[in-house]
Amino acid sequence: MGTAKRQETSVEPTAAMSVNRRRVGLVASIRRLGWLLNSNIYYAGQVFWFFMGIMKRTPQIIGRFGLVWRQIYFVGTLSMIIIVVSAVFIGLVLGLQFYTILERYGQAQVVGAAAAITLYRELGPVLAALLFIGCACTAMTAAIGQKRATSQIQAMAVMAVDPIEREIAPRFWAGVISLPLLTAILMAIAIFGTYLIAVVHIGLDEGFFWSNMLRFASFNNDVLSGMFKSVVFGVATSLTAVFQGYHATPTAEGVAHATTKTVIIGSLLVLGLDFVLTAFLF
Amino acid sequence: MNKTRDRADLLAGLLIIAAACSMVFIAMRAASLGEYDDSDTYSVKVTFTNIGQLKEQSPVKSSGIIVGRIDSLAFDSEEFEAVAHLELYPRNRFPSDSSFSIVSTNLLGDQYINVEAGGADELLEDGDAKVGNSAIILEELISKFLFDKAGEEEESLL
Amino acid sequence: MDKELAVSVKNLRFAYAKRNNQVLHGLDLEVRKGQIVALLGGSGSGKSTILSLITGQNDVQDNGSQVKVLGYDMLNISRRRLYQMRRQIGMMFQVSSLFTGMSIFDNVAFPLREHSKLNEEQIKDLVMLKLHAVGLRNSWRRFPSELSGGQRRRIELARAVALDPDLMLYDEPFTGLDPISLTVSRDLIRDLNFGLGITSIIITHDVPETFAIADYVYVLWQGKIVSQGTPAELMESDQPLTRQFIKGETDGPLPFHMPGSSYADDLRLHEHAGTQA
Repeated sequence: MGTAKRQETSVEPTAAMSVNRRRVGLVASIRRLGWLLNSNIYYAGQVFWFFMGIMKRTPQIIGRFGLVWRQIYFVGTLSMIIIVVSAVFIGLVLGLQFYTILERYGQAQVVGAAAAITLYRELGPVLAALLFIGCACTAMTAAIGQKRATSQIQAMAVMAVDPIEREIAPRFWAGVISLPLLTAILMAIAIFGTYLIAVVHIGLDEGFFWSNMLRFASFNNDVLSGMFKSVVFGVATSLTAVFQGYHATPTAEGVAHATTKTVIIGSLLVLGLDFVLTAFLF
Repeated sequence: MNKTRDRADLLAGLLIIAAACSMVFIAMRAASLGEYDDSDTYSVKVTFTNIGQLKEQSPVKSSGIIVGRIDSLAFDSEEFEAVAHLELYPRNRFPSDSSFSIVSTNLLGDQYINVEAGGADELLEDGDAKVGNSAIILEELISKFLFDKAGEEEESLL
Repeated sequence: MDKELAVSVKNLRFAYAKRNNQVLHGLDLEVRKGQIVALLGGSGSGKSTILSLITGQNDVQDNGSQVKVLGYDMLNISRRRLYQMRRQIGMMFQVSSLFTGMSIFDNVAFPLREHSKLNEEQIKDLVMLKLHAVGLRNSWRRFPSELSGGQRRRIELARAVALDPDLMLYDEPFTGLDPISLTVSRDLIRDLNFGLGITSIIITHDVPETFAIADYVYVLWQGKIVSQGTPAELMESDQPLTRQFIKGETDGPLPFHMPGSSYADDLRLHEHAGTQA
């Protein structure tokens, strides 16, 4: 692998060079633009085929669900603490913020409802996804990248064990399953946080708090659309994480770089997709 | 090794249970599961010459309380008027001579259909058809006012 | 004659696709069954690429190259056949490739659990047998991080032979080992080869250890074979590069020098390679 490794690292600078080729002029600019487009399309194509590879192995994965189950523990349960703690604070801040706004219009009794709708439709899925990227996706990328750097992935392949089936697909599916679960937990705990600030601390009427929530927040429209978003985010973030990990340059530096890329690409994907979903679907 | 694996399985299960509990909590206390049951409502057809800003799903109110919703809006191309199909909740029954009118919440805000209860002994039944009072269009109101003013002036000139 | 060959490589040329640089320039080599064959050469000589082509980690390119491993033609091999072939080979990596999240026992049991229908009891017996063969039976509860580098190599060896392969591949098995571990590893490779009747290919730049156990040695330089023969023949070789490589212990092995210099030209290598081919 000695030669392969060295060649691998030499790709990046040459690619960067063709972008940074400091020649002014229209043709050069157009070429640069074209290179940017081409490389992005190339990246998208790579991700697509990687995704198809995972999909192709899904029947085997269902047959060995224990692998996914264990990854749900690593991916999901271990990010539960941060999700729960963050959710309490998100709920507290939301309650406080909505109270200061709505109190000016004499509508303080709908604080709970406003916070709930915001949480279900936007904040819940997006914040859960961002926390999930920071906690679980980086761990996924690092774990896979480290397995590549220490040739565990290659060793598996040479042992005739398909690494995509054994290592990648279970993590991917665990991510897709875990994020909606974490989102549901975040929503519920954040509502509790809002309750704490609005009812226990500020002293709004408890009956109004809950009944307005029931009146204005719809399970089918708000909660389920939020859960749908979180499934989409789960696919996007998990795919980014396993892709970056699997294609990391097999060195410690490469793994660190891949982890950073997971956070950047994953976060941008979540925010971008959130806009697209909100604008065109709901 | 088996011990740690068992623990992982247990905690993964815990995650799923926690998520299920969250969902149940949200469904029970923090979001209404579905709209009011539509199968119980009774529908009334009301025709208007102009529905203004009325939209489907707009509320039907009586004395400010929601008593139903607008199920659909359509244009009757034979009579050349707007037809609103209302779904009214069965717990509120109205006399058969109740009047329907389109009202604005304020000058700019959304409009709704207001039901003014009548005095008849018979009650509105499912499938009844009524003629409603149309929306007040501000421009029409102004032009009518100006037209009337102009007419008055003409009269005084004569 | 062909049946006797575990690996046969003919006119192998290879270039990494995107970078368009030729790594292998048409080389031929043959590995007979039961032999220990060493590929000797510095970094960048292409020996790791050869290994990756034999194991199917890189695809053989359709440019007249031919690679046959255990009767499987590696050109355009289907995934199913590739995985079939891989079940019959074992490989030891340059960097420790033990699964860090698993105990020693689970590491060695891994290929058995994946590929055999044995029950836990039978797997345990087999794993203990393999661990005993490398002298680390009592470490089965431990984790890879708790072992020394040399011990990890031996565990890896145990894992590689867990499924009783027909062909063993070693990528730099002697690098970074203390003298005792070195001798232990060397003897293990030899004993496994003759004890289990398998074929071994060793990739290395460690001359004395290789010469002690290899039946046949190929010397590579920049994607070409510059000389070949039994260790005894190579010791007598008057081919300059081979001599420099084998006797150059004071200078250290070739990769010690900065790559990219015109060292090859200084040695007038291309002329020699030309006469050899």
